Amino acid sequence: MNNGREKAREVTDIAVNKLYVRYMISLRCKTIVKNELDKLNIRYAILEYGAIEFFEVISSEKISKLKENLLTFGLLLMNQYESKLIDRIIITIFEVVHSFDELPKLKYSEIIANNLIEANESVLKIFSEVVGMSVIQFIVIQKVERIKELLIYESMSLSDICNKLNYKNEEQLIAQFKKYTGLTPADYISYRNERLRIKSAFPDRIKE
Amino acid sequence: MKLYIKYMVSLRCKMFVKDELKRLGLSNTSIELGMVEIHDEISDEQIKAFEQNLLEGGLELLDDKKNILVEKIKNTIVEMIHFAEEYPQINDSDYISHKLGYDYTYLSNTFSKVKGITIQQFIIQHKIERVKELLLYDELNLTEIAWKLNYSSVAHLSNQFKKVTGLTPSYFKELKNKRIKNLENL
Repeated sequence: MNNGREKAREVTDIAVNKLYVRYMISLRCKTIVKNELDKLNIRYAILEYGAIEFFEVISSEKISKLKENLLTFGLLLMNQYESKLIDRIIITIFEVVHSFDELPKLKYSEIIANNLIEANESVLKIFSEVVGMSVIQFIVIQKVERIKELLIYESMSLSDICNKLNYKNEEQLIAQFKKYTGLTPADYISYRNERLRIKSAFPDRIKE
Repeated sequence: MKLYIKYMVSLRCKMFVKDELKRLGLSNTSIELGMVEIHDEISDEQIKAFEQNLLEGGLELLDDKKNILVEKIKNTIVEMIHFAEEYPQINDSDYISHKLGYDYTYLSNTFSKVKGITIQQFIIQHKIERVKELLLYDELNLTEIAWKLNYSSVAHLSNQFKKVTGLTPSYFKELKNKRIKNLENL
């Protein structure tokens, strides 16, 4: 099953016209960016990982104006090329974590380097300044998302998930899961059972 | 219109919900885990159909009462972290439970089934967002921030910050300086 790219598209909307903003890493930064976009009458959405999605074609004058205005707050509007590089990192992580049958035993930095057109350390450094978290943290979060799905949709056992996603043992997996969600995999298994119950009750509901 | 959905706790659930809405001709929507906001007018039949499709996929719309409750939990937390003059000096759980007039376990179970994370975890994520803001925009040092947000110590704050972002607070301070440098180069 290869739906990593699809999921990446879901979160990053690769196909659309978008630019990342460096240092837009808190809620207040996002508010500032929104205000500036509104002032220029641009139709947009602010995406989860530090990008602006444009719902219309923007003239280069407007882009320069926006760039200039954001700079007065210390925010850097990245150009298309730089934005693509950040996108590429995010998509690569999604593909690796969500679609590979087994996580490759390579180091993440190597995987990312193999998949970037122009990979170098500075790109990874910029990543934190754009997304507001480290690359490793971003990967951990995606792994937790994958665990959720393996639990809920594939009914996979914890030991199988450990092997698949390269955890040393179940304790390590549970600890990481708990750190991010506050819940245990067992809670998710009970959610899965609830969902199965709802599904199986469904045909009866139609008859009613 | 905002609708909360039980057991919509993973990315695949999110994609499923988005597709179902599209099939009903509703594409002007914002979707996050456990919640959809429909910006267009929606008819009773559409809601009915949506509800049926969700059930078929093992997901359940919250009834009105619980819808309001989850919304209130979120608002209470956002208010207490981002807008209150002073962070409550009592336990977060006691504060929320007292404010909403429900047993905390009940609130917590209801919330987790919708968002896929605990209330406590939701609070942590928001507190870290607040810490980021205070680091970037206000002239507060870490001790003052720890004090303001009711952390037991700077170490506790730093650890939690690292857990959530993978970065240290001092790295964030550094970013603030870089931003100032951008300004000077104008």
